[in-house]
Amino acid sequence: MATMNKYPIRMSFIGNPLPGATVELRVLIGHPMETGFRMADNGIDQIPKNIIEKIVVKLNQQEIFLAEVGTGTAANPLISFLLEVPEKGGVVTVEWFDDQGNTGRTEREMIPLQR
Amino acid sequence: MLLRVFLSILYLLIWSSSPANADGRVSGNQFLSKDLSHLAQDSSANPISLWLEQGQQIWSKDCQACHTDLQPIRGAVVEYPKWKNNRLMNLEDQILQCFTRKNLPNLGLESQEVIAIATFLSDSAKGLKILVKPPLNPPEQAAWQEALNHGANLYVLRQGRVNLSCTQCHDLNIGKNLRSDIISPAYVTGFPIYRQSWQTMGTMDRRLRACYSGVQAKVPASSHPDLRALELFLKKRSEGMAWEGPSMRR
Repeated sequence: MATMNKYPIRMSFIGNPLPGATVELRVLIGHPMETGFRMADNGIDQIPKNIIEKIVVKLNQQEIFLAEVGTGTAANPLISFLLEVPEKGGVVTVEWFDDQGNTGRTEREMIPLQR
Repeated sequence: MLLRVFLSILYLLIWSSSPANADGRVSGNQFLSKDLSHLAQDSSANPISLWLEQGQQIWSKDCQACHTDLQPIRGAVVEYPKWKNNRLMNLEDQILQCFTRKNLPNLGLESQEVIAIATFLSDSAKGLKILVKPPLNPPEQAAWQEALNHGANLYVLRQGRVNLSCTQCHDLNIGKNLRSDIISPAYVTGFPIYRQSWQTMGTMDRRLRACYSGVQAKVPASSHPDLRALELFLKKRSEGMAWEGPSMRR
């Protein structure tokens, strides 16, 4: 059985990442974002807190975006921001860290779409 | 006054241009708020895509060895629940049975794996017409008919402390507000659903149990025959409508 990735992650660029152009970067992280206040189905046990604390986005190894996420964020968080594509293009890396020590990472090269 | 007339004409135009079936049946997806329907259509932003991708991966790794051709499976998605092994089985039941047949661990109906495969299959069947077929064998056909009748009875049965039946909201009060949500008709054209209040994907089984809990009735256990009978009735009600694949709900 293919084991399901517990924390899938998906990155996409909206717009054509031509050098010098501005594109929207969207990162969707599959994460339960448990607040720690919810009860299990038996009504006795508390579901332990499991929250992403930090999301870091790097462009060519250089940090360009840092988000400190808390309990107010819904499950499967989506972050999006505008990004100027450098003249030589580049690789975008996204990393996240949660309070239980889990981490996730994905990277994607900005390749202009062929017309 | 003039403005009001204008607005009502505009409203009628919008209403008539919404993709309703020829018989006036409108899918629940037409009742989403503007934001939510944008989100549902945007695959780069909506969380369904996470399940979809995973489902596709599991499918190509574990299922494709036997089911080399997706085409017949696509057709089958819109025909569930089916009468098999003396009970009604929906798509998720069938996926679980496949797990058992392949000696894979029984992960449960609401496991992420089962929902991911169901999401992938449901997405692949987009656009097909819902078609619920009775079994061919006469005794099975009688049992199937009984289940369908049972489902229809449950649909109009007042239940719970709130003492409401399904039909009182989903037929008689469509389009009105229930708390901050708009009541949609009970046509099941797109499951599994990503429900924002669950913050995850869920099956129709779970959705129906949520309805029981909503009217403060005794919630049946997961995969209870009542739930399958209701699902069969709802599918029968939606017969002929186009399948819309996994959907978003509030």
